[in-house]
Amino acid sequence: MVRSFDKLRTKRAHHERIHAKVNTRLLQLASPALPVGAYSYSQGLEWAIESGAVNSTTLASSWIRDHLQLVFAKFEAAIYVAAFRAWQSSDAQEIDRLNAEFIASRESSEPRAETIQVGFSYAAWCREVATLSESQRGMLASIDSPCAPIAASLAACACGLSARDGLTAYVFGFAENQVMVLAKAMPLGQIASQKMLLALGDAVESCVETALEMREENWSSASPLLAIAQMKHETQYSRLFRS
Amino acid sequence: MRVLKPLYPEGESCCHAVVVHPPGGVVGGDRLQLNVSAGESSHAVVTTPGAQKWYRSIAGESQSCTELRVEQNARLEWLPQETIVFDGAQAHQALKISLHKDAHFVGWEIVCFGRTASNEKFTLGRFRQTIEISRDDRLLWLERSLIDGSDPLLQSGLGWGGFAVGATAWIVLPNPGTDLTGDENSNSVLARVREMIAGESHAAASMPKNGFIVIKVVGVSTESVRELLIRVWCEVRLSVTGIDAQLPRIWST
Repeated sequence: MVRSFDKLRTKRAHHERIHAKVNTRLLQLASPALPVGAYSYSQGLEWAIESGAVNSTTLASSWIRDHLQLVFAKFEAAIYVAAFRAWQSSDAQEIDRLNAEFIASRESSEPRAETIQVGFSYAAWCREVATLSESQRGMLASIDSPCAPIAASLAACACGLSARDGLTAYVFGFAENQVMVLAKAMPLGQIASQKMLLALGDAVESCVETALEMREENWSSASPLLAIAQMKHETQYSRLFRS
Repeated sequence: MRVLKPLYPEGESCCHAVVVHPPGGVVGGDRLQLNVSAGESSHAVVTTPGAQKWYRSIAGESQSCTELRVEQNARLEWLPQETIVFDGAQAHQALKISLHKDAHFVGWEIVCFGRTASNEKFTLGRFRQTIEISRDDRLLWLERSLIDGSDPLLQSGLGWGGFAVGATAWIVLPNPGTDLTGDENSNSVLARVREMIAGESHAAASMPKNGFIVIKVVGVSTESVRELLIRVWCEVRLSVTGIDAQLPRIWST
């Protein structure tokens, strides 16, 4: 009796250790210190502020919420999930297809440059920092320009995270960057920024759940006014961000 | 579907073709397929006599699939009238464009949700649209939209912002260089396009890849959106080819 109790305790301790290991990797991938440079892009938000479309904290929060739930969830996050599964099963053809489709879905030059630059940095992190399998290493090397969701999903996969955890870190990173855009461009104070990020938590979670459940036939990248904001940003007179 | 007698209002070097779908609208379960091929060194302007209407459907999804192919040194101007998505429609509209690397292509797609004339909104149903453009077998553009009736995106400031009409236009210039920041010719066409739409708060242009220019517009009516795109088309026609655009006659009937 005592012995089986000990065994149970050892087993639980073992699980807790693995869980802690996964947690530290998750935190590392979600950390703003991850050298992917995503903080230099606003994805159209800087123009929305400049044009007056976003001129209050309430409008700023609903802009980010809409971006997460109506746009990001239905395409970029969904592509991330599909790519995560393709990395797991070493499906090189699928990775190539998803990569080409994601880049072609970016409607203007800044978002294309952004996803390729961020993807390049994630890919370097995967090669230099993560432990990749032989086939993953070969697949990564064969992609022309790996875009952000494709390379980021490999980082999570190689760290032994689940698709849900990896995607949560990725989506949270996006939401945090958007709030940091407000902090610099509106500007929004530190405490107000933190409150907004906390309040956006449910939108991050629902974005992840939508993407995990979404069938490919329902993917949708449509967001015309966002595309227009991103295009107009290119010719914005004075700017802090690269998109 | 059929093609009306080809016209040559610009002389024999350029064919104006009008593609007609006699019923004018599509109902539950219909499938339309259109293939257009511009052969080597040819030049064609293709349009439609009226709007493509997707009626309310109770019999499942209707589909249309349009495939355009533009061969070496050919030029295709694909200028269809708008698509109207009636309340209750269930439709899938696919457009697939394959270009040779020397091909010149100009095209647009204009979609109107609900019949604006009678103040109808798109509250029920589902509209899917897939647009794929490839040059030399490499994907240049992919647009996948799925919009449900009353979709929050129709009101969102990132989606349609309450406007009924959305449009995308593309200009693919022949023989683009590999210059990442764009060659001189492509950049000057982009600058010209931007100048023409500079006063519009809901229209913008970009060049996501060298020699590939995209224009996005949203608006209250198909007339205003189409008028803007026609002006841009005429300007691009003149500056790229040196030939004045002739508006297809069917537009004025």
